[in-house]
Amino acid sequence: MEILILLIPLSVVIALGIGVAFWWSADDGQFDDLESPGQRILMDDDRPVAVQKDTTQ
Amino acid sequence: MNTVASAYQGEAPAVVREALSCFHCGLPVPTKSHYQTMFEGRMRPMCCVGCEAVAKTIIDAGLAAFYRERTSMPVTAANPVSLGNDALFGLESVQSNYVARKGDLCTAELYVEGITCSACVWLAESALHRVPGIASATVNQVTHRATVSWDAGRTDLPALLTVLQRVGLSGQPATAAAALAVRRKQRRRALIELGVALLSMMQVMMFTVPLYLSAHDEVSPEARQLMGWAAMVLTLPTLLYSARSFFLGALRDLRNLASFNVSMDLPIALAIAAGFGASCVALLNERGDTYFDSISMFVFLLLSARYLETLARESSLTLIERLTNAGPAVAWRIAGFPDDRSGVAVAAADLAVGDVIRIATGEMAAADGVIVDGQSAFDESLLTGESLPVPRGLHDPLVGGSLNLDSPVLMRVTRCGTQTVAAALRQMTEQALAARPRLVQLADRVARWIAPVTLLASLVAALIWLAVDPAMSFPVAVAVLAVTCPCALALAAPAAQALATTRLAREGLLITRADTLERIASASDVVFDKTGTITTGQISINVLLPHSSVAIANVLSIAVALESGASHPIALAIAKAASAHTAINERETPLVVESACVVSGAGVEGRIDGVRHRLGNLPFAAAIADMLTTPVAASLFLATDGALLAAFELSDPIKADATTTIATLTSEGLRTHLLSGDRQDRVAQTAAALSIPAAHVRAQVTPLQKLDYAQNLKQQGATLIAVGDGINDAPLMGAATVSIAMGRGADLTRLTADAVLMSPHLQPLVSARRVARKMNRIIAQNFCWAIGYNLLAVPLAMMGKISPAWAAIGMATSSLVVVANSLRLARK
Repeated sequence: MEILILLIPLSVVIALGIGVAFWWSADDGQFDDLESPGQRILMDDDRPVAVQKDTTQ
Repeated sequence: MNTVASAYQGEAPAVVREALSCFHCGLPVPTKSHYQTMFEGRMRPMCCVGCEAVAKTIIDAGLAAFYRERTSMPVTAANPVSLGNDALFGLESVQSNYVARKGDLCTAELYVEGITCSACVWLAESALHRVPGIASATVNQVTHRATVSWDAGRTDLPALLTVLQRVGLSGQPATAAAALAVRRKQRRRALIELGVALLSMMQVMMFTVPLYLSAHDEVSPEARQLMGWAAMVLTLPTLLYSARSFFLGALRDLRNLASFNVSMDLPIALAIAAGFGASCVALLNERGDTYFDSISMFVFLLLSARYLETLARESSLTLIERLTNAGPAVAWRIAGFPDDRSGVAVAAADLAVGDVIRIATGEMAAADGVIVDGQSAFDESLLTGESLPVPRGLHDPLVGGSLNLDSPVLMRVTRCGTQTVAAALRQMTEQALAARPRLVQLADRVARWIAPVTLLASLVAALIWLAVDPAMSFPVAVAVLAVTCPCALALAAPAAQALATTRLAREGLLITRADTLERIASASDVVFDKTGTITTGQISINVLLPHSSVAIANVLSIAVALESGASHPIALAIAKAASAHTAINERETPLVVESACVVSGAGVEGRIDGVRHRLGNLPFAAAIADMLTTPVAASLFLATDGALLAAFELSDPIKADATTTIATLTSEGLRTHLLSGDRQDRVAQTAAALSIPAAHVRAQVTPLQKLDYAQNLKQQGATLIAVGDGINDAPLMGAATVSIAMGRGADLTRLTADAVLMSPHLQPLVSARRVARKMNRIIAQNFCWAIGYNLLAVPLAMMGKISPAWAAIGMATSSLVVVANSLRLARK
């Protein structure tokens, strides 16, 4: 059970790290809108712009 | 030319009318429309020039992915870009309201209208990002709000608004950017406090639960001690950060201790501090119980209840915010109307009564007014809750904040600034939300006593236990501090009230007094006025001519001339009927009336070309003319010396949902009454259509007779809701328990009613009663819960039957229960 001596402080550090990460992300506004950022990644248009231009009158 | 493009060259670029709906907006394409756009090699049909321009811009800019990915169509067709309006936002005076400046970096919040799916969000962001000089642009899909920063040297606000408009969305700068920023910061802060407490609670439990579950010798003493310390360290963020507000509140309470003004923050902070202190002592001495897990759970559950309550209040704040933003900041003033139609842009705040302004398609009316030229359909949903467009033509009133959907109109301003309907609505909503109903006041008073009583009870329990069993003294004192829960009183009642008020406001019924909802719930009778309440109040006129030799246009122009200057519904109806006849509009000079005089209750008399004319009721007109044949249905007559020129039939249609609303009210146990100053036969006809019993109907009554009727009912023990126009019915409304005024067209600033019905429908009356009853029920349930819980828990805690840990859990759960119960009001 000696491993606990290492694991417990480690888990405290990790938990505090998660807390800081959460604090930063909430302060940065990442929880303001939980909908569009997830869908935004699907909207990336990789096709070359020229194709669109050529087909337009 | 690349391969993809050349592959399409074989196809004839014929217009493909797949569904005959506009490629951009989905509306039907008129058969003669020649607007079209090439997309993915095919010509797509477009409904109008606006949509064509927008689609072309989107595709040209390489944003065509919008059309592939979108999941819903725009609400309306795109509007042609109106550059001038946006150019005005460049004015320093106008901009200062909206733009926050830091050196060269400007930031503004924009409302983006027209967002229906995530593709629109992407479209707006991508379009903005392509503007040179943009630092950042993010659009929130939930609030439809964009935060945009740009370099002031390279672009400006008008350019950004134009970019949005070019892709078929419209942006409006959101006012009070500073207030918004403050609120957003508070919301984030609350979320962080809640999240930190949650994290801390879960992690602390990771260390404490194994100890509860393990046998005594299963974990070594060193590990046990270490886990205790870990729990303590992880409780610190909760204690120092999340629970800050409780300690700050407690400090304030300590300063106010002398005036006996103590909130629940003090007992809560004492319980937290005492629990933490005792746990630390136990940890150092390596014996005794620790409460780290209960402390973090206590704080987390309390914060959850507060967070939920804040969300409930947010919804009402959003409503106020939307009303604040009703109407644009700029308007086109047409100084030379009607000769010169060129407009000058002015700030909306500078408009004065009497100004003529142009409202372009897609713009909002900047003030209240009357249409003087053109006709269009308007979206008034912001003010009335009515989602369908409303047609508005010549002489029709417009309220500021209505969105012009069809074609440009000119409007003469009748009210502006703080006098507008929107401003009055905002003020009334704020008032109603700030007001504290009797029930909430009572809850406040009781809650104020609970904190001192708790402190006292805790002290008494501690002293008694000191004599009985000194070891129990401290835990009992902490348990009593933690277990008392006044949240049902302090948190839940205001949340319920805010939710109910907001929900009704969305449906078009504005509550203006604090106790209104409570009184609506207990009503037994509803008294309706007829004209403008049960009926639409939009009188239409039908001309019945005695001789075929007289032209309708002539008759109407005489009637218009006689009624010129009057603004009552009949005069407006005549003016409207006249404007439908183009012959009158083409007449060079209107008829001149000399020595006009109004005979109250009879009609109007005047001389036209020296000949006496009368327009009024039958006896009035018959006094100067021979009435040979009188049409039965007619109620208004136009006569000249010796001859009847015309008779008019007036009709005022019943509101579409009046019958069902009254049937629903009746089936819910309310008695309905109809009082009207109108003629007996017509009132009886209306009452029959609505199935209001004849005994409850009075026709041809004066306002004072209405008052008598109401007082009679009250003497019989009835609780009255009076529904009327709020101005002619003032005595009746004053006597009723609850008065509900029709908000349409009336001067809201002069209304003195308990509630104002903005919606053109009567349906919100039914909702009001249901919501009011539900609110009363929920508040009563919360009170019962609070009283039951405290009566049970506090004595048990004083007897030492509840450990501090369970006291904390019980109290926090109780507050969550009552707040969650209140939130049920938001559900339909």
